Amino acid sequence: MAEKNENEGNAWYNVLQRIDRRIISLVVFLLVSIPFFVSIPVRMEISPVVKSLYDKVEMIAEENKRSGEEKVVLLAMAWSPSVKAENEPQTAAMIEHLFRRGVKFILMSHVLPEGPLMAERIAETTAKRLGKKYGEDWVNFGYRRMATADFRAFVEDIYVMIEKDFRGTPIRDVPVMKNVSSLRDVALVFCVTGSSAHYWWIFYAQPVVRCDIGVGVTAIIGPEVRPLIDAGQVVGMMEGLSGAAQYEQLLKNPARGTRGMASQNLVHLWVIVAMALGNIGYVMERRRRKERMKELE
Amino acid sequence: MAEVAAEKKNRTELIVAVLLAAAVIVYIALDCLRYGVKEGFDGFWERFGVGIGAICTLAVYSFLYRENPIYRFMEHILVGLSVGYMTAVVWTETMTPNWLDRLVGADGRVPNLLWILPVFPGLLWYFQLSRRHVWLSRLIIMFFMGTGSGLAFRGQFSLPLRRAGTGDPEFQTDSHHLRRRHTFHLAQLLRSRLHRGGAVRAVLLLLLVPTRAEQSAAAVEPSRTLLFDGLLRHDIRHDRAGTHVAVHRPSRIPLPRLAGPGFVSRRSGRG
Amino acid sequence: MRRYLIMVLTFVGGLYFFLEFVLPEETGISDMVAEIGKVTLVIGGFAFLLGVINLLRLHTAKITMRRPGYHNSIALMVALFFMVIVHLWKYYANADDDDSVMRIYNLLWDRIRVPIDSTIFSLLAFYIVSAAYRSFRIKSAEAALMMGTAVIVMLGQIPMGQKVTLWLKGYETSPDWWWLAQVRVDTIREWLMQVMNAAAQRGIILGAAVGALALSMRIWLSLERGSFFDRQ
Repeated sequence: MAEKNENEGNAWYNVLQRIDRRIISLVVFLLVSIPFFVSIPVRMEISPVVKSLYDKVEMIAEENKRSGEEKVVLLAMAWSPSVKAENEPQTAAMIEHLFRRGVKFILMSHVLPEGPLMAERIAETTAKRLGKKYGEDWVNFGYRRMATADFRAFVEDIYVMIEKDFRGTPIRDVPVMKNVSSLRDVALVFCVTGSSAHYWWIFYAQPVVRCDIGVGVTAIIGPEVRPLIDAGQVVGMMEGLSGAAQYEQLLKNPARGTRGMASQNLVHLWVIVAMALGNIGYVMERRRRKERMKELE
Repeated sequence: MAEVAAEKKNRTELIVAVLLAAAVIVYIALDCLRYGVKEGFDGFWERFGVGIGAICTLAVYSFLYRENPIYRFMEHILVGLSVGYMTAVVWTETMTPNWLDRLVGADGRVPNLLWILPVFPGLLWYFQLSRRHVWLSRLIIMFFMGTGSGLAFRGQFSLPLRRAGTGDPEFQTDSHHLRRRHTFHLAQLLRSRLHRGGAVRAVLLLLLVPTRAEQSAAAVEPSRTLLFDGLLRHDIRHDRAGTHVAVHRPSRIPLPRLAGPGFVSRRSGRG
Repeated sequence: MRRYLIMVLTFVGGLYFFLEFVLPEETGISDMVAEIGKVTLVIGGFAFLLGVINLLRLHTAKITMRRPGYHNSIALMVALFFMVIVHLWKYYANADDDDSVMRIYNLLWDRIRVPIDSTIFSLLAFYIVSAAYRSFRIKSAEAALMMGTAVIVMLGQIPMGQKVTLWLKGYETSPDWWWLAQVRVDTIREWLMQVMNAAAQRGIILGAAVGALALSMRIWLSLERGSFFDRQ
C-alpha cells in the first residue's frame, strides 16, 4: 500500500503539480535573458488610453504652434529605482515626444527624491541626440518635499514653494518659465508613479486649476486608474511596460519599452504554460482519485 | 544518515557558490583591466561601476535559490544608502532652501529671525525618543493629523465630484455653491449624527441628500448624480440663470463597437 | 489637561484648511495658504532625523552586544554615513560631473543603490509566477472564470498574444461578419479593463473615499480612540 502511494506520488500528474519553484524561477530568468541575445520583433495593437495620451500631447504642440503661446507640460516624476523597469521607459517615451514636438517641460517631484534625478539623466541623453538645451527646452526643479498644505500653495503659485531649479539657478531666470507662474499655465501634468502619487494632482490640483492629467503607472496600478479615465479626470495613461512600448510604437522609436516587451512576451507565455501544466496535473489527479474511489466501492 | 546527506549538500552548494562568485569577480577584474589599459582611468572606472552593479544584481538574485548571508548583506547596504540619501536630500532640498536660507539671509536676502520660531514645534518630534515626555511629541503629531484631516475634505470630495466644464464659459461648475450647500448639511449633521457616532452615515447623507431648494428644481438631484457620475455620465453645470442643468456626457474612450456598419441608433439617429 | 490640549491642537490644525475649502474665495481666506504651507513644510521637515536616530539606536545595540549578523549592521551604518557625507560634500562643493566626489556619488547611486533596489523589486515577478503556478487551480466555476480572465488579460497585452487573433481585424468592414473583429483578444481585454474592472474599482474608490472622509472627520473632532488620543 505504501509502495502504491509512493508510486502515486511520483505519477506524472503529481510531478506536474510539484515543479520546484527554483526551476520555475530559472526558466523565467532564461526567458527574460533571451531577447538580450536574440532579436525578437515586437509589434503591438495600440490601446485607446495610450492613443488618447499621445493625441493630447500632439494637440498641445499644435495649439502652441497655432496660437504662438508656449504652454508647458509638467512631468511629475514620483518614481524610485524599484519601479525603474516600468516607469523609466514611460518617462523616456514622453520626453522623446515632447522634445520632438518642441513642447517645453518641467521635471519635478514632491513625493520621491529619486525621480527627477533619474529623469534628468534621460533628458540629458535625449537632448544631446536631438539638439535640445537645458533651460530653453526643459527645466528641472528637482525634489521639493511638500506636504498637503504646501502642495496647495504650490498649485496656486509655483514661485511660492520653488525658487531655484536643481542646479541652483533662480527659476525666474530660466527661459522655460517665462510665461509660467502657476499650474494654470501648464497644459498637461504627466505623473509617472509606481504608487498613488497621481491622486495628489487629482485631489488638490485639478479642482483648483482645471489642468489635464495624464499618468504613467506600473501595471499593478493601471486598473485603479480606469474609472478616472472614464470620468475624464485623467486624459490618458501608459500602463506598465506595454504602455511604454505602445507609445514608442506611435513615435516610431523602438527603445527600452519595446526591448522590455520582448522579454515580457516570453514570460507571460511561460506563466500561461505553467498554469496549464499545474491544472492538467490537478484535473488528472482528481480523475484518478475518483476512479480509485469507484474501485474501492 | 539524513544529516550527513544534508551536510554534504550544503558543502556542495557552498563550493558551487564560491566557484561562481570567483568566476564573476575574475571576469570583472579582467574586464576592468582591459578597459583601463585601452581608455585609461575613465574606462577602468566605468567598467568597475558596471562590474559592481552586476555583482549587486547577482547577489540579490541569489535569494531565488535560498535565503543567504550575501543577500542579507546587500539588503542592509540598500537600507543604509536609502536612509542616508533621504536624510541628506531632506536637508539640502527642503530645510536649506525653505528654512536655513531664509533664517540667515542667503543669496542677498535680508535675514528673517522669525524663522527661529518653527524650530520649537519642530523639536517636539524628538520627544518620541523619551519615555517620560513622549506626550509632547503627540502635540505635533496630532496637529499634523488634524491638518491632514482638514485637507482630506478637499481631496476626498474631489474624487467623486469630478471636475466639469473644461474652459466652457457658459457652463462652469460652481464649486463654491456646492460647498456652501455641503456646509449647511454638515452643520446639521454635526449636531445630530456625529454625536451618536454615525460618522459614515453622516458622510453618505452629506453626499447623497440634496437641499430642499434643489428638490423643487427641474434638474436631477445634483449630489447623487455627481457621486455616481462615472456610472451615469452626467455633468452638473449651471446655466447663466444659476439653475443646475444635467448634461449627458459621452465616454471619451472608444469602447468596442457594439453595432455593425450601417446600424442606425433609434435614440440618436446616429450609428 | 494634556488630552484637552491635544484635542484643541488637532482641531486647530484642521480648522484653517476646512474653512478654506468651504468658505468662498471672496473672504480672502485662501490668500494665506502659501504662508501656512511654507511654515508647515519646515515644521514637518524637522522630523528628518527621527528615522536615522531610531535606526542608529537599533543597530548600535546590535553591534555592541555582538548579536548574530552584527556585521550587517556595521555595513548599514557605514553605507548610511558614507552616503550622507558624499551627498553633502557634492552639494556644498557644487561638484561638476568630472569631480572625484561626483564619481563616487554616481558609483553609490547608479551602480549600487539603483541595481539593488530594482533587483529586489524584480524578485516579486519571480514569486508571482511561482504563486500563479501553485495557486491557480480550477477547483470551482469562479476559479475557472478568474483564470480565464487572467489568461485573456495576459494574452491581450503581449504582441504574441495579440497576433493570435489579429487576423480577425480584416472583418471590420464586412456587413455580415463585422462582429468577429470585436472578438479579438486585445479588444476583449480592453473591454474587461475599461468596463468590468472600472466598475469594480469605482466602487472601491467611492467606498474608500467615504471611509476616509468619515475617518478624517472623526480624527479632526478627536472622536477617534487610540494611543495618540487617550494615553498620555
